[in-house]
Amino acid sequence: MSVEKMTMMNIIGKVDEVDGVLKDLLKTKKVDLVSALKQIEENNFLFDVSDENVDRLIDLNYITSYEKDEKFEEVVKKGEELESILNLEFDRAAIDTDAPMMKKEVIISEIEQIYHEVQEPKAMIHALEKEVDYLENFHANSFKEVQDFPVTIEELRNMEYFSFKMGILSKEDRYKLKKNYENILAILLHTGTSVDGEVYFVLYPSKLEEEMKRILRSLNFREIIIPKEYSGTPQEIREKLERNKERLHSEIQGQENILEEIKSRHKDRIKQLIDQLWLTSRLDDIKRNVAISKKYFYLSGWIAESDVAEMKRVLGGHEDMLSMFKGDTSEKPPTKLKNNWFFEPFQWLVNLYGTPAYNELDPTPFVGLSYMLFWGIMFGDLGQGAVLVLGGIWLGKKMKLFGGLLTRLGISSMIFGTLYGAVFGIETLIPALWMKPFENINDILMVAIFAGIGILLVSYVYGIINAYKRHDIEEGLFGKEGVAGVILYLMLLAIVGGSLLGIQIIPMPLGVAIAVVALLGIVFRLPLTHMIEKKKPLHGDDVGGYYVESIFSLIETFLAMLSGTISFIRVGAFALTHVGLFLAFETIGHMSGTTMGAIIAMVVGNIFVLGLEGLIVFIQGMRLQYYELFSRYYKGDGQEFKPVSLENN
Amino acid sequence: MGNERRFSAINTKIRVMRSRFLKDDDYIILMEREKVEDQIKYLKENTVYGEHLQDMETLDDIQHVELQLDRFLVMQFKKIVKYFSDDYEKLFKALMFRYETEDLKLYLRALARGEDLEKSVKISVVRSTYYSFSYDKIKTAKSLDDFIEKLKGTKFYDVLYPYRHEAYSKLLFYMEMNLDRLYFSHLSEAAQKLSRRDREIFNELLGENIDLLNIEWIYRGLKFYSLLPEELINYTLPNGRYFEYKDLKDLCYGDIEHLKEVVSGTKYKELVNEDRDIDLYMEIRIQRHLYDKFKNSFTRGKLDISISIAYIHLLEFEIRDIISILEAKKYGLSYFETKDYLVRTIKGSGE
Repeated sequence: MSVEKMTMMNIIGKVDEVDGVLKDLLKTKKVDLVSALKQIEENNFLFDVSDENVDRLIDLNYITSYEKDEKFEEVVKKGEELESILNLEFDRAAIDTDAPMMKKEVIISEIEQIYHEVQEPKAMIHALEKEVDYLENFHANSFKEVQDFPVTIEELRNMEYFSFKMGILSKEDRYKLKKNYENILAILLHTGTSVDGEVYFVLYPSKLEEEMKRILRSLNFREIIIPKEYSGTPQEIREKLERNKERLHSEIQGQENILEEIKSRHKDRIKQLIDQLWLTSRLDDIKRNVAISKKYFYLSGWIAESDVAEMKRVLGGHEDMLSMFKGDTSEKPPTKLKNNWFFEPFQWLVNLYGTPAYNELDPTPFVGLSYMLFWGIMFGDLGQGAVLVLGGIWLGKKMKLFGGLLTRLGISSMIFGTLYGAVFGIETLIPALWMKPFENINDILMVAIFAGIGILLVSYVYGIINAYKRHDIEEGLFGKEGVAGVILYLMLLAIVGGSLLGIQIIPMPLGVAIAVVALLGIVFRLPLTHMIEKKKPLHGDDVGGYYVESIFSLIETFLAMLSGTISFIRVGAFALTHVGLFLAFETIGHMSGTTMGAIIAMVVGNIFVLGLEGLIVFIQGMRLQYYELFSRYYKGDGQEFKPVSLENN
Repeated sequence: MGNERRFSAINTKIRVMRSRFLKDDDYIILMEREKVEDQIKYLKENTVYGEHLQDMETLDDIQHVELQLDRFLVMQFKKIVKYFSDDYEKLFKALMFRYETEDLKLYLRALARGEDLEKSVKISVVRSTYYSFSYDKIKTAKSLDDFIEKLKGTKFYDVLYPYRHEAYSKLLFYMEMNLDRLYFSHLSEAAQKLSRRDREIFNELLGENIDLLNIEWIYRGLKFYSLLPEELINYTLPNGRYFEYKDLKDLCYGDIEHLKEVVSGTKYKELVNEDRDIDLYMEIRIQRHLYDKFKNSFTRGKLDISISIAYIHLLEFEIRDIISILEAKKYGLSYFETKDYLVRTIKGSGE
C-alpha cells in the first residue's frame, strides 16, 4: 500500500563471473540497473580499505565500460532473419538460461554458416516469385478477353501487308482515338486488362507503320512486346502461360522443400544458437551499465530493501563477490509501488498520470476508493454492474490491469445498483435500499457534493503530508493546498454552507477572522517561510511583483475552491442521466406498443448506455481524479522502477 | 464550410500582398534605367523582391534574378495553401505541381546534357522536400531509362515511360507536351471537388486558358511542325471552354487560313489580329487576355476562389514582365519596344 523503500546495491566481482551474475540478476527481475561508471565517479563505491580490498581499489584506476559489439549486433539481425526465413518463432521468455554459455565466436560462425546455407534457396524463391508476379500481372491477363480469337500469333506475324501491336491505352486517350476513328487507318480491339491498364490490339497496314507509330505515341501507347517464343492463338498462349506458372510454382515448392530440409536438419541446434544469440545480446545490452577493470567488474542498481536478503543469497552463489547496500544516497531512487491485489489495477490509473516520486505518498488506495465511489454513484445498476464484472474477468485474461479495473468498477456499480434498486435500467424489479435518484433529485445532487467535499478534504491531507515529506514549508503550511488552504476552505464551507443550510456551524465573526488569518498566511507565504527558515532576504528580487502575483492567486484560490466543490455535482447529474437515458428507451418501447418492441428497446438501450455512457462516466471519473484532486496533492514526477529482465529492455 | 468563412481571411491577406506589387511608376523607372545593373539595384532597394535578391554578388545575373523571383512565387503559394484545407488545399497543391514539373524538366535537360543533377538542384524552383518524387533517388540516375525507372510509383512514370528509349533531342518535345497535359488533367481533376460556385469559376478560368493554349498549339503545329493532324489533335488539352474536341479537330484537319477565320469569330480574335505579326505576338497576346481576366476578378472582389487564383497568376505575369524588362535592356531595346513585350499595359503606352 505504499512506495517501497529502495536501496542502492553496488557489486564488485571477478570479471569472468560477470555473465553468470547478470543472468542470475535478470532472473530475479528485481534490479533496476544504473550506470556503474557514474556511481564510481560520484564516489559511491565505498568500502573499507583492508588488505583483501586493496587490489580492487587499485584496479578502480583502470576502469572502462563495455563497448557495443557492432559485429555481434549484425549477427543478431541475421539470426532474426534466419528465424523468419525458416518460419521459426522462438519464445524469448522460454530461453534456457541455465545452458552453458557458448563463446561468441562459436555462435557467430555457426549462425553465419546456416545463414549462408539458406541464402541460395531464398534468393531462388525470390526470383521465381518475381517471375510469377510478372506472368500474373502482365501477360496472362492481356489476352483474357479474346479467348475465341482463332488466329495464331505466327499468322499475324507473317502478314504481308498488315502489322500489329499490342499495348496499353488510358481511358482518356482511348476516348480521343474513338472520336477520331474515321481518320485512323487501323482496327482496335480490346483484349484484356493488366495491372497497368486496358490492353488493346492494333492492326494496321504496314505501309503506314511510321504514321501509326507517331499517332500511337501521341496517345501514350505503352507497347507490350510479345516474346518471340510465344506461338499459337491467344488461347494457346494463355494456356502456355498457365503451364509456365505451374512450373514456376512447383520450382518454388522445390526450393521451399530444401529450406524445410535445412530446418529439420538443424532445428535443435538453431534453437540453441538463437537462444544463445539472444541471451548474449541481451547481456551485452545490460553490460553497457556495467564498468570493468582488468580483473573486476562493477555493477550498480536499485533494489527494494525487502529484497536485500534474496540478493545476498543469489550473489552468495558466486565466488569472491563484494556487495554493498546503501539506503540513503544523494540520488533520487526510482519508485516501486507495492499495493495489495485489490488496489493494484488502480496503480495503472496513477501511472497513466505520472509515477509518484520516491518521497511522495502513493495515492493508489485513495484513488481506488474514491474512483469506485464516484463510479458507483454515477453508474449504479445491479445488472449492468454484473456485465462489467464478467467483461472485466474476460478482458483480464489479456489485459490484466484493465480487466481488474473493470471488475472492481462493476462491483461498485452492483452495490449502488442495489442501493438505488435498479437492474438493467428497470426500476421496478427490486426495491431501493437507499433511494431512487430520479425521485430524489435534490438529494442525489447534495450527496454528490458532500461526497466531493469529503474527498477534497482527504486530498488536502495527502497534499500536506506530501509537502511535509518534501520538507516544503512554503507549500505545506502556507500554500493554498497546505494547512492555510485547508483552514480557509473549512471556514468558507462553514460560513457559506451554514447560511445555505440555515444552521450556524461557527459564529460568523470568528469564522471570518480565522479565514482572514489563513488568507494573510497565503499572501505572505514567502516571507513567513523565510522567517521560519531564518533566511534573508525575506523576499526575492521583485517584491512588488511577488505581492501582485500573490494577491491575484488569492482570486484563483477562491475560484478553484468554489468550482472544485461544485464540480462534484456532475457525479449526481450522471446518476440522473443514467436513469434518464433508460427512461427514454422505455418510452420508445411503450410507443412501439408491443412487448417485443419494448424488449428490443431495452436491449438496445442497455447496450447504448453501457457503451457510451460507460465511456463518458469513465472519463468523468478520471477528470475528477486528475484535474480536481491530483492538482491539489500530487506531483507524479517520479521515475518508475524498471527491473531488468530477459524479455524487455 | 461556407465561402464567407473560407475566404474572408485569405482574401484580405491577398489584398495586402498584392498592394506590394510594382506600380506603373516602378515599371517606368525600371525601363528608363540605363543598365541592367541599375535595374537590379532598383529592384533590390525599392521593391518587395529586394530581400530575395540580397545575396546577389554581382548585379548582372538575370538568370539568378529570375530564379529568386520564381522561388518567391512558390513561397507565396505555400503561404496561401496554409489558409486552405481539404479539397481546396489539394487544388492549390495541384497548381504548385506545375513548378514541380518545371523542375523535373530541368533535371531531364541536365541529364540530356550529361550534367550532374546535384548541380541542377541549386537552380530548381521548388524545394526538393516538396516533390512528389524522391530527389534523392533520381539524382543518382545515370541514363534516361534509369531516371524514368526511378520515378516509378509517381504520376510522372506513366507519361514518361513510353519515351525511355527515345533520343534526347526528340524527347524533350514529347516530354514537355506530356508533362503539361498531366498538369492540366491534374488540375481539372482537383477542381471537380470544389464547391459548385468555385468549380464554375475555376473551370471558366482554366477552360479559357486551355482554349488559348490549344489554339496556339494548333497554329504552330500547322505552321512550323510537320505533324500529322492525328498527332496534332491528340496532343491538345481536353476541357476547353469554347473549343470542344470537334472544334479543335476541325482546326487540326484544316489549314492556317481556316484557323484564323474561325478564331476571329470568337472572343479570342485578338490572337489572330493581323495588325501586328501574329507569330511574334501570339504568346504575349494570350497572356494579356488572361491578365485582363484575372485583373477583372480582383476588381470584382467576390468572396470566392477567384482572388487567390488571380493573385498567383498576376504575380507570375509581373515576374515575367520584370524579366522581360531586364532582358530587353540587355539586348538594347528601346523604351517603346520594351513596352510591346510586356503583359501589363503601362499608362500612356498602347498597343
